[in-house]
Amino acid sequence: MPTVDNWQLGREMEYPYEGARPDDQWAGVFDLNKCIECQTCTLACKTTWTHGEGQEHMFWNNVETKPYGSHPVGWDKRTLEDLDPGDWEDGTYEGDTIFEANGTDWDDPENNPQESQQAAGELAGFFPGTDDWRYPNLGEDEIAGDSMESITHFDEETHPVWFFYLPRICNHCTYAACAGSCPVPAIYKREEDGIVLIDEDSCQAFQQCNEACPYKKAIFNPAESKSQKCIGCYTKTEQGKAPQCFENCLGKIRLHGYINPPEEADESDPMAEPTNPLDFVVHQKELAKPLYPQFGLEPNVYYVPPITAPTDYLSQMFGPGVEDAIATYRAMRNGDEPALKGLFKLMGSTEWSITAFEIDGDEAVGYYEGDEVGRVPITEPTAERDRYDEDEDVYRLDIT
Amino acid sequence: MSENTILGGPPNRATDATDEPETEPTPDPADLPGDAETAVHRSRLYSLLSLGFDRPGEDFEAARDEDAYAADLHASAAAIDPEIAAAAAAVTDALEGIDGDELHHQWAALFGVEEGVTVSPYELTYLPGPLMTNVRRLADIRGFYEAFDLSLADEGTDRGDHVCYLTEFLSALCLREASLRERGDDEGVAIVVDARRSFLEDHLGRWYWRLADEVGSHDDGTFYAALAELLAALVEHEIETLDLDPDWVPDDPEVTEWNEDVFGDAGRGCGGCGANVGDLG
Ligand code: SF4
Ligand code: SF4
Repeated sequence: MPTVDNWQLGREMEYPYEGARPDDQWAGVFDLNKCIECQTCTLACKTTWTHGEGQEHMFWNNVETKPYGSHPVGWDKRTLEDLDPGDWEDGTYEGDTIFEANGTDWDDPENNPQESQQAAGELAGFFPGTDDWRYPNLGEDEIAGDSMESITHFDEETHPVWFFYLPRICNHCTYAACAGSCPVPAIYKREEDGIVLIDEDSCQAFQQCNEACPYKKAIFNPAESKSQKCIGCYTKTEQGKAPQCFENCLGKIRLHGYINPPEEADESDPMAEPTNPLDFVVHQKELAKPLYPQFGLEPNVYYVPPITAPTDYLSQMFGPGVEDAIATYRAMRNGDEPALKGLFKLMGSTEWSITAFEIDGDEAVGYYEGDEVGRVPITEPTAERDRYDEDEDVYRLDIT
Repeated sequence: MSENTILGGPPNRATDATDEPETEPTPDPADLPGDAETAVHRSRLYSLLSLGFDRPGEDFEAARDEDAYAADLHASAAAIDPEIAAAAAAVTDALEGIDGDELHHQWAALFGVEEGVTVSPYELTYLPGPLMTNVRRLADIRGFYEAFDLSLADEGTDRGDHVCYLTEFLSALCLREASLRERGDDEGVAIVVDARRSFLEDHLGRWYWRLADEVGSHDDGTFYAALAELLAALVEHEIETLDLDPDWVPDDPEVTEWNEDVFGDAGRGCGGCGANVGDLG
């Protein structure tokens, strides 16, 4: 049985191909506490890449309201239902991943995706139909939990009435189901940066990837009769620049960089020397978490969980460690995590990808391959003015 | 993909690399149908069509002086093809005896905002799919203009996909072709002919027939119906000589095979969110 090492599950896992990691792995951090669902990211992507005939329904970047929003309809709930619930024990996932749920023997040549031409059928999940693509704004801004009155007020840290926004792109997974299911195979993961691409000249419209990707980010273009997906804006990242949806993010919630597996993670201290920001947030601080790690793909967009949402829901979505991540985030806000605070100030401050950062006095500095590409004050200078201005004989509403 | 992992490059990269020629082949004159003289006539015909479709004003009046418009139209059409000549004759017949006011009235009834733009002279109107996916066509059109160092006049108030601009651009391309042919610059000729091919195939060649149908259905037998027929005759002739296969726009603009499924009746909405515009009102 070919098994691969999935650090997000804390164990080996079954997969149709042998495990191999790229030289670098394209990755992102999204701070869900800051997303305002302005959809600037969605439009930045759509106007760049998916404005053609046959791409009307296609959002390589979408932002949905959780828990009730989903595009395509029910993408996560339906896959979770198909995948029986599994427990986490000391950081190890004991349930089945989508590759394991049907007990498929991937060693059997008959099950080889290029042989069977229907590997997606062996995975947990579903094929999204045309109706499922119709409602990108489904559930938008719908609240969960208690009902809400105009006088409702709450002080609890976990809010009894809640929702949050979840921006989603292709995760350029280490164990991509799209690539792992393609019969041709027309989908591959680039050795240099781990970006997962569909070679459109080779795609033969088997549509296996449309079903296999549990995030539903490999999407069929009926006008071209080809599947298409996020290309990680490699045309920009090859030049050191962050992808369109990162660069244009109005809420400055996104950080683009490259991540290492835990055993190769950068362990340096950004208070003393330049440190890989992805390794720092994901491995050292364990603040940012993968989306539905239990699917088993080792996705490479890492989310800082929203601190006011219920942790049972968040744990289902981001795996174990959500409570600790929330505590760390609160500590950062209280000034107890200066390196993290500096890094989060760097987010959205530069159009460059950040491969290293460090704290220099009261500034945070970002680097791309050794060159300084961003420098921001960790605490923004503010001035306070008198509420009453004698010269003008006016009262100020805003004094900072 | 590499042996038994998902890592690697596109499957056909290796073979492509050997198949691809190192340098651009020198253009074969046989692939560049036409000669300098017809190119000049073609240019003039496109230009007269552009002038004709524009809101009639002083320029058109001046062109009609001493029958110059009709005479030039005849001469250039006849130099290209007898069917085009017949279509041009219908245009000049329809123009006879119509004064400027009457012409303006006919134009306004068809294309003017005065009557709510009965027939759209804009390419985007005829393309399938919601507006959101079509705006890039505008960018593509502007890209053609810019590639040849042309731009919309600052005082112009129309969008780049107006039939007047499209025909004027084709006229400019044909004029350049004529001068390059005179100079024996085969490479230059290849570039402009190639651009004309792509422009017709991707743009005007997709919808000229819809414009002719629309004008004809509102305005049978007048100058503009005849002019739209002349445009159709010229573009059809171009499609044949340049061996083009444009992807025709649907004759029912409401929905298309690929957005009908996804957006239902909202197929003609902006396409931003999938909301049905009809239901919003
Ligand atoms: S641009 Fe940023 S803040 Fe706006 S919706 Fe996208 S991720 Fe959220
Ligand atoms: S998110 Fe989906 S499309 Fe993207 S790499 Fe993973 S499996 Fe493939």
